[in-house]
Amino acid sequence: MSQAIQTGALIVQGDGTVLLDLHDSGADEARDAIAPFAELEKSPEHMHTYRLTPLSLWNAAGAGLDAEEVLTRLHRHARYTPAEHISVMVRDTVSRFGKLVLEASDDPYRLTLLIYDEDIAAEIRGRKKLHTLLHPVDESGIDATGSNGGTSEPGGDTDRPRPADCFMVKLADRGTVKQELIHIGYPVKDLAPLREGDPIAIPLRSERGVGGPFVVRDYQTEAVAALLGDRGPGTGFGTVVLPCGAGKTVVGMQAMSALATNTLVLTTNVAAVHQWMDELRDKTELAPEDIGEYTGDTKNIRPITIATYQVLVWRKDKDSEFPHFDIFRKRKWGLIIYDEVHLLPAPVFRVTAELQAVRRLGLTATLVREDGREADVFSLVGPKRYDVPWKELESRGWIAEAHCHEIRIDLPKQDRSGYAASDKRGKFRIASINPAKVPAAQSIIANHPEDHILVIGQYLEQLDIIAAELNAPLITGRTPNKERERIYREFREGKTPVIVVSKVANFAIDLPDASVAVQISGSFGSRQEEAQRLGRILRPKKRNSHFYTIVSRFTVEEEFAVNRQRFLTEQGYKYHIDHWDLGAVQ
Amino acid sequence: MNRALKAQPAYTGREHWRASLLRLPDDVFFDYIRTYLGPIKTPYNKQSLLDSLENFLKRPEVRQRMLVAVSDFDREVLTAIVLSPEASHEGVHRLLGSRIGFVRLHHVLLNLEDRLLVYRDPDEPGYHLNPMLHDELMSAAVDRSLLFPSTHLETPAPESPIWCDDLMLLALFAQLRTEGRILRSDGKLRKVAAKTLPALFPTHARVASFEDRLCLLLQALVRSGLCSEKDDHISPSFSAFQKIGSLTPQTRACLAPIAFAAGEDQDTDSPMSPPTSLLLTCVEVLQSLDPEEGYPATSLHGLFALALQTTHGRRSTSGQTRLESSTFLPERIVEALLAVGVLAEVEDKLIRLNGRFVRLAEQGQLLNERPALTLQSTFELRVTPLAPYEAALTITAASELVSVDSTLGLELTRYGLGNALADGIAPEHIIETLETLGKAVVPQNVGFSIRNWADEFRGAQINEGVVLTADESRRHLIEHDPRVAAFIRKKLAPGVYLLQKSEERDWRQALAACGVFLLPAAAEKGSMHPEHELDLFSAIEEIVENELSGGDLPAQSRQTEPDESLPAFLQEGVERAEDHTTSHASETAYSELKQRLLTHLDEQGFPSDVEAELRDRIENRVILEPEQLRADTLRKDQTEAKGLDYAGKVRMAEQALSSKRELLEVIERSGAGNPTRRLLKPTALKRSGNQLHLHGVQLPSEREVRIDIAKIGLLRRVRGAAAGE
Repeated sequence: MSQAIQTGALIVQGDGTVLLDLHDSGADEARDAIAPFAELEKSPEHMHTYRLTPLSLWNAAGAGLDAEEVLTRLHRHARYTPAEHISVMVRDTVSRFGKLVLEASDDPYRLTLLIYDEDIAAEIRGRKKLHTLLHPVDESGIDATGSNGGTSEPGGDTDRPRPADCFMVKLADRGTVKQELIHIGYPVKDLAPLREGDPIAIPLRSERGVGGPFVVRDYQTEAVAALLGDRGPGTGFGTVVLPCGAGKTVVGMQAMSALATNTLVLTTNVAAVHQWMDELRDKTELAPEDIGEYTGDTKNIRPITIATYQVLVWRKDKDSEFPHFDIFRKRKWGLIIYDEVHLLPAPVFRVTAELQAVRRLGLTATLVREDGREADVFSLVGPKRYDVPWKELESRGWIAEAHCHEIRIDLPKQDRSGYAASDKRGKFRIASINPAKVPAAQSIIANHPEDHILVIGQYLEQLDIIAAELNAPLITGRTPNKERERIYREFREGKTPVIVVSKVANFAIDLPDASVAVQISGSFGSRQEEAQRLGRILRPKKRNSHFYTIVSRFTVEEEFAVNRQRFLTEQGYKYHIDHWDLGAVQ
Repeated sequence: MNRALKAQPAYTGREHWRASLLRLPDDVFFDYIRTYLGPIKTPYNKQSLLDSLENFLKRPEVRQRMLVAVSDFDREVLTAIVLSPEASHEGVHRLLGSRIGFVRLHHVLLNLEDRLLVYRDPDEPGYHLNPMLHDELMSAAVDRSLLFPSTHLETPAPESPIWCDDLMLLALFAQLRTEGRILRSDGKLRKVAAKTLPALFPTHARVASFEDRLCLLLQALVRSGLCSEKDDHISPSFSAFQKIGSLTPQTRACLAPIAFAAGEDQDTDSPMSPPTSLLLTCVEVLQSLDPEEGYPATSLHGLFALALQTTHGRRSTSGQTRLESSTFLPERIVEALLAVGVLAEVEDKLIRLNGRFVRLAEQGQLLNERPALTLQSTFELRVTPLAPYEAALTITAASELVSVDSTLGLELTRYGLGNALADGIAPEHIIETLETLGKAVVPQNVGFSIRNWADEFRGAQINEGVVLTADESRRHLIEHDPRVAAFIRKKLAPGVYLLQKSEERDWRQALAACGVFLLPAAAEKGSMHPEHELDLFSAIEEIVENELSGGDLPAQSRQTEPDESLPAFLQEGVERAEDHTTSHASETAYSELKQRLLTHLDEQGFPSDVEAELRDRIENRVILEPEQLRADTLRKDQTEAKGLDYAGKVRMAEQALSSKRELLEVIERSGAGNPTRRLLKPTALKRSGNQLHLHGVQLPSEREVRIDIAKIGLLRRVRGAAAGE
């Protein structure tokens, strides 16, 4: 067929990315065809980017999709003939399914990694980075694995072939080993069983505690199903990525209900802890005494316990132990939920081996970290099991339709020489706290008299000024929790239409009626922060939501703004940019 | 059957043939008449004899026998005559290459003349098909695939990436703008580039020898003038890339490899042939290839050589020949085209046209129903092969490369836009092009950013030139006198003007004329580089020579001297064995005819020398019917002398000298005992002391030689071409 008139919704690239042209008539069919084996990376307005990864192909293989079916689907929908090496890659990757197996061993703190291919074994032996993680087993040990598999489970397979090689893996390194092996193209079949926790029934209500029906949405059910699978080996751990306001808490609760087990929930701050507790009381049949708070203020460990990351990683000084880590041993947890998992503090990555033996669920809207440590999240918690494009949920009404605006205002003359003389950090600060932003924000607020408005910023002195100008309450890190809760409550109740918040309100705060957010400054180029702040106004409501970000024109803040917006624009959000004249604003 | 190349106009018409025959020397003319019509009765008239010969040739059975007698080797020579631009003995020999030696070919051509299959105008060197048999010979005997064989392949055409199609050219343009330090001084990739570039070229990076090919391509871009190189920094020229927009996609894809191939040989200093025609010629060759055929390398070399000869005409007047050339242009062209994927090696070492190259002809055609690019609010662009090159270049000029594959991935950036502005591309034009190609309004944030960045760049500018400053008292003279105002390129500030150095003489005069005297000289900082338009093919023009008219043929034809280490029959290349076999159905028919003629000859009881001569004529296929087997059509003539027959050798030389048309075939024994064989045009016999030397001009090298008669092993008089040498 002439290339000029070739059709097909997919463009398969040589690096394994697959572009889906949404305007092609076969786009829907193509998307359904590749979703089982390709991971969605970006979903802007015209072309979505998927990627064929070892993990996505392996997951497809696990679900019964073979390499030929994968290639058939790609070729059927491809606009241009995929390069030959893609076929080679797919076949090779899928063929690796099951070649590396992780099993329990007689030692409860160690696992056995079995490798059923000599070439793969040789390659892995040669990888220096793995030497500290994989501990060789002698020949007799390898022989033993061929008989009953070295597993502690009864009735082990006695007919299994002898593996080409075998290593011992510390339980604490379970996730890291799997991640490192995925990096070099070898997905691991994790058959080591997870520890069962103490049971507790967590039925979901059909009517909310505050009134009104409670219905779990289809994508929330799908997310839990993706996590738990058939409850067999290799399931029960992973990350669910859903847009802000899409009800990740409900996903957590549904997982808890399905597993009916003691659950530890880790979240970002006390307000979020309280929010979880409120949600559990509102949507489940749990008795209040079964729900415990473990924070700086309160230390109650109950069958369902919600704790903050901060308390977990608190210690007297940097040489001391983490005294609260033993929360993991206080009960026989069957599930650990990491809320806003992208914020997982580094020390938690080093936590005890117990975590790797427990079912784990990570929840987030933005699995991006400016430090690039998403992979560490995968290591600790597990791979991404489920996600949905933001715009898809928006089109279905599950999150509010949001309009994004970037307002550019000039730096006042009196600040320009100071700006010019500063280093980059200083420039960013001066641009961020541009005094002209205050009247700009006022002007925006004046245009939304009916809305509940959040004004969000980074710099406390700026927030102080604007809060005073707007005569609005201010919540910062200094604000006591009780005071925060009171202000949030009054905001929800409509008594306070405008509140000014610092980055404490970036996430995990439920303000269902907030429909306008005005961002007057942010953390450099943080994509995650931008997305989380947009997330504050995405709860579905009667009116559309508006997100404003005010940026100083012709400054470094502009450049950072481009990066900040990248995640959202890749999700399909468009920023409308306007330049407001200083004189006109003032 | 291969698609035909444009053959030389072989059909010259009956009148030309008759006129040529009439201008032949009488002995030759009458030999022909006698051979075919028998003894000549007096009185005779040449015109009427020619009429009779023509009638003879019109006889169906005669024509049929003549065609039946055309062997496979005859077909090759006839094909070479038709295809060769000049169809001279030399030209045909060049085309046939190693199939036959020069001397042997001379005999073959004589034989074809004798058989009235070809003829020559005495005033021209080129052979022509006999117009009386032209159509039959063209359909039955002339076939390009005889000289340039190929094999039909059932497998689909290769679809490997092409390294220099429009998307790749644009990708390299964008990448070199971002980072031009890709190559080391030794021509290899820098370490950093070797690490980062595979991600930008994900499919190309999977091809064997990715780095080597990329280095070759980069060098080719420099040689073609699309890029310049200084201090290991390669810079693409927007104007050069723009210029090639007028070429077709296929021609553009060949530009770099042809430039690379042509640039390899920098030793020659012969006059050049037009470089654009070189490129177009090569593209024509490629377009003439059958995509379903696999070609051995030698066939492709020959096709390119033939095409280049045809395009670039005859040898230079200096008399340089292909034997004196040190270039292997056709081979380098094929190698370069293989390297960039236009050609691909397939099974059995055959070479085939890349299927993607064939489809390049369809690229760049904007379709109403399909956008040629997709622009997202993320500033990312995806350009498809549908995008017309020039429009795509405009967009690429404002972008940075993300990756290139079956589509081109770009990102509009501030840096990219700055480059585009520097190239003189207006932001509105970029937006307009985006909307035209994308068939959609540009996202608001993207449009705003383009304009915003443009404003930023305009906020600070670099101006090159001469700065004229004037205080208030003189400004009115400068600004209001039209003679001076015309030279002001820009007013930088009140009383500060930008002028051009290249116009200094003129504006000094104008200033003086308007009353601005004592103008201080501009600060010496070196003259501004004179404006010059990049000559796209300047690199090629310095290198490509019109040796092409002298031919750049397969390696075997390079020999300048007979190789005395070789047996005689190998000295001018491996000759085809004497072979008059025919492979087609006429083989049986000719065998029957020949047998009949031989049987008839046996029955005549001729003397042995007559019988031997007539038998030779049968073998040489000039006898078509038994009536030609007559003793009175023969002329006794001794034509060779050998070894110790000193007097005979001298007589042969004298006869050849006196005929003025004859050549001499000389076989000598060298000191090592190995014979050498040459063809000479004799010029003189001269005595030097006790020795008599034969002087002559050796063919085809035209070298003057002097040979001791005593050392000649065999001296044979050889007829020159009927029409002379």
